Amino acid sequence: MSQARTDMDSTAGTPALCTAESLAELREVSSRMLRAVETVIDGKPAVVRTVVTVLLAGGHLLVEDVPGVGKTMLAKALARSIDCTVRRIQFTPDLLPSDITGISVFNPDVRQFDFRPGAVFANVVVCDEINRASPKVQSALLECMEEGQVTVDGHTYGLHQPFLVVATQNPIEMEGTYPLSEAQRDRFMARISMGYPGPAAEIAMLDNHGGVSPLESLRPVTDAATVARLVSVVQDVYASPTLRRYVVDLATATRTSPAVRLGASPRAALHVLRAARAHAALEGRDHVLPDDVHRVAAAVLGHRLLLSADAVLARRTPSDVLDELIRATPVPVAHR
Amino acid sequence: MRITRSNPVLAALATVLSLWSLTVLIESPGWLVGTIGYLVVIGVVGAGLRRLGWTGLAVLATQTVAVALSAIWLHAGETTWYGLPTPASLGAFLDQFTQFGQTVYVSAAPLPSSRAVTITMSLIGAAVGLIIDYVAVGRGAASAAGIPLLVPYLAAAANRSEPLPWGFFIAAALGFLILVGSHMQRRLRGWQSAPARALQPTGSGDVVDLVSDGFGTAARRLGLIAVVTALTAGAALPHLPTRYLLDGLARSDTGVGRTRIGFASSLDVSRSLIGGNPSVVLRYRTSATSPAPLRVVATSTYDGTTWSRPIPSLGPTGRQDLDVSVSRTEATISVEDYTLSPPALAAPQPLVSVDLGSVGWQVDEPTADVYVQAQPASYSATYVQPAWSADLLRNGIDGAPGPDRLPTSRTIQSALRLDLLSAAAVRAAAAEAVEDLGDRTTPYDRAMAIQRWLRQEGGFAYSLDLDPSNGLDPITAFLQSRRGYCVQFATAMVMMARAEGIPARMAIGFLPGTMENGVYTVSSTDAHTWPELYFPGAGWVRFEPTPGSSVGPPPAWTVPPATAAPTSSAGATASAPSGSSTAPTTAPRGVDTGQDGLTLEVQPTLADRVGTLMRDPRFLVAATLLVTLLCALVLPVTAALVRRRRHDTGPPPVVAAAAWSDLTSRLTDLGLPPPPGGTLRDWRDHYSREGHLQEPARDSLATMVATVERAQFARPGTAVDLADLPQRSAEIVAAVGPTRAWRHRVRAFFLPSDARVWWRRRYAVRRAQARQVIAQIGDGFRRRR
Repeated sequence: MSQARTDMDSTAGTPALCTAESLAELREVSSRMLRAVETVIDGKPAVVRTVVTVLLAGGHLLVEDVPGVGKTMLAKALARSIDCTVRRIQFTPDLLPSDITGISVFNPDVRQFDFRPGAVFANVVVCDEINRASPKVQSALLECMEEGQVTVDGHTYGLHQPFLVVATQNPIEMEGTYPLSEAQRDRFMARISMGYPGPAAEIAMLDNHGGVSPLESLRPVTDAATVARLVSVVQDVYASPTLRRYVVDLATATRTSPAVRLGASPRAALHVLRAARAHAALEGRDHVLPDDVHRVAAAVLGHRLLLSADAVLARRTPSDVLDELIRATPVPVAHR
Repeated sequence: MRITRSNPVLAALATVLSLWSLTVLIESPGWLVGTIGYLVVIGVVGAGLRRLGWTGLAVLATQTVAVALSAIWLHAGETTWYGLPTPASLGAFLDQFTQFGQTVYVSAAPLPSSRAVTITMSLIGAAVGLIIDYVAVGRGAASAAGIPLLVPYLAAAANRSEPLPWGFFIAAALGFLILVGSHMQRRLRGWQSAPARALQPTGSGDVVDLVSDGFGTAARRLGLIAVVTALTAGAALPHLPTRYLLDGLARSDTGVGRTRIGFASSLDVSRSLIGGNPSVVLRYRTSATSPAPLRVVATSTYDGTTWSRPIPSLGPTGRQDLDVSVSRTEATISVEDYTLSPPALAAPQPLVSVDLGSVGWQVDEPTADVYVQAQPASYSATYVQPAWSADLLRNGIDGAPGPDRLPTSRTIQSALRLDLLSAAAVRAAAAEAVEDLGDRTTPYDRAMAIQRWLRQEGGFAYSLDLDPSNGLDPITAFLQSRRGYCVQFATAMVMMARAEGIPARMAIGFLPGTMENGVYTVSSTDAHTWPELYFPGAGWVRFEPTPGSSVGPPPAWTVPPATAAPTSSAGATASAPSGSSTAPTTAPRGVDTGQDGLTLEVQPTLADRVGTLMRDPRFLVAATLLVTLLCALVLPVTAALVRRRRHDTGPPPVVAAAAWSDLTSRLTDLGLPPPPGGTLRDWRDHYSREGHLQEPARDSLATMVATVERAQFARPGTAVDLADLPQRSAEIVAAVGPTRAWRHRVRAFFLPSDARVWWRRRYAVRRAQARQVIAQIGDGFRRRR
């Protein structure tokens, strides 16, 4: 439902969910979550913030980095900080789609097929090493992510709300993997990479993780219902026509730039706006500013741009190109 | 940015020190006391208002009003209505200003310290003080106050024939430097960084010390280089020829110019003639058979020792009291090698017309003296030689002479005023001179008797040096010692004629000079004075009481056996002034205005005036400057109008966007271009950093950005306060301005991009319209064919 929400200017007439009180609650809950996650993932406030932003925006997250920097730890910490159902799937080449979605099993007692829900029937689904499963499994998962429901044997089962998929993958070790196709990557609202922790954070980590994992001592700071409500508050954050126009301008700029082979999809524009809404709400604003768009653009658009051969040869990264495009696209009001 | 004000007391002190140099131009420095009083008023009013939070032009305006009110209460208290100025008060001040202007025009420096001069000079000082207070205190620009401070000094230096004593320069410079120094000190102390720097521990302060030491050394070096350059450049510059900024001023008795001949505005009767080298004043040719003396000035004002030139009432025409029925001949005179400094012009009277080429000139209405604005190298004049006869003067035009026939004009009144000090001696002398007349009591007969008595019967001797006066006034002394030269003789005759009821005045000028090959040469030794007596119908008639061969024979009409009137008509036909079309020409228009007789009207046509003006380089320079100024102001004025129109009402996003666009375009003009692709917040940070914005302005910018953001992006219906956007914008621009280089500021003022864009659009629209019209015309043509 949330993904199908079109960005009509319908918020003006309906009773506003996004009130000062709800925004205050959102800030309060999110700061608690941030603090909780940061006890586990030390020294990465920006990454943690992006994760929470994506959660509140109702999107899915792709964490891409070398092994051992805490990708899974991040996903698990987020999941634990919310009092909700968590499933973790370790993707392997022999994983089957039915492991993800669930399967109907014949029940001889009632002479019927009973549906056994798969791993996606949870609020937070952690998909480790997503590129190690076969494309068939990947696409099964991605369909769930996109539609928020599962159809097995003609029956449609709705997924939990909120529904957050945190997938991790290792971009270095490519042997025996099935890299996500562009279409599949596009389903993820944001891609982040953890990066190595700073020396101080690493020393602290060695101290803390020596005994009990800090994950064990992490207590939920909120519950699924609250998060679901906050997600709906975020959806009500106002985006003015000028700003929506600006998002479209930015998406168009990625499509027309000579340095980009494949630009941002309309879905990408949608994701940008939703992430920007969440970012604005996290800052306690009931309206989106171009600044919010700028803050989320790198995480939301970075993994969707395919650079042209020239740009790759010039050793430019997607984030470089994106920065350039942002600078070149006139911001509403500031420029006339 | 907060303005760092200068100390108003120091500003006033600098003003006084600068104005001190003007005291060399006025006889007594009493006016400076008045100025100091006004400066106190300015300072008190300014301090009070600024404490109340007033700024800028409002303070200046109130100070001006305060000064004006105190001046009116001081000098025109009787014209006020319960302390409020009335039109009469303004009129009184206008009178004073006019008198001051005329004093400046006719007087040599130093100016006589009359009431008008004192009032006007103290007000001029107050005006300078107002400007300096506004610039230094109001705008916080102490260095810029140097320019108005320089003006009095330059005015004093430029209008004095001798160099200004260096003490004045030292004083003015000291006042200015103290002002600037104190201001800079205040500014440095006001910097926000200063306390922070002082608090830094010494260890990490090394870098700061190093930097500030570096700046200090550089500043000292720069200052030293500037001083050395100023001194050497000043010494190396050649002296410019002396030019006077004000007409009249600085033309001392010794005069200036090639031959050091000047004409005093006053004539001291008690002074002996100092022998000097005779030098040529002018040369002329004339069509007249017997040349007439050349008059420079006629005056009726005698103050007991000195004849002084009255304040002229200048105009295009001069009056001539010669009845039309008097037969006359006209003669022309063409002068060359003229050396008298302006405004004096020597010419035979009564004048008909003058051709001065491109030199501007005016005529004193009662005396018909000509005042020129610049020294003409040569000129020509046409004058009348009236055929006065003894009969005519004795019996009048219509045979009825007498005191009762005198016109009751102010000119005549002042020409009848006796000098009080010498009145007794003069009356006694006059009675002695006319006692054997018996019943022949016409004014002419009495005048003749006085002249005869002075020339022959009274036992007077011509002498260039005078006896000591023994405390007597000059006329009484002369009548006792009976020794003197033309000034004493003429003065005595004027006074005696006045005692006998005949209007008389003093004429100062030159004798006709010596002729050689048809060219008359007038030298400085030909300077002469003679009395002019007024006879109804005949006007002012020259008499010659001074004995001596150098003076020449008395005029024909004053010789008892009335000789025949000159019948020569040689000059009669040569009277038509045939000057070039652009020269100021005068024509006798012969308008009969009753008993005053003929009126001489000088009425150059408009084209003539324009032509004269066009050839005056000063006018050309002034006109060019004016036109340039007007052209330069087109864009600023357009920008102001465009900006004012832009702040119109409308939906909040439009108004906010307009205000923001206004701010950004003005900051761009100031050399602060926006960052590429930044959001409003990026711009805010950029402007705060690059514009070195301090607290109040930085807050204004933040508030403005927040307001514009809300107006543009917030949910419709959110309350947005747009009212103070223009004011905040102006505040930010005002704060950024002083941090930018002057070229940016000049450019922002004279070439604002708003105005350029507006004009470009206008041009594009007009061009499109013109093309459309041309296309339509073309279509019409084609269709018709």
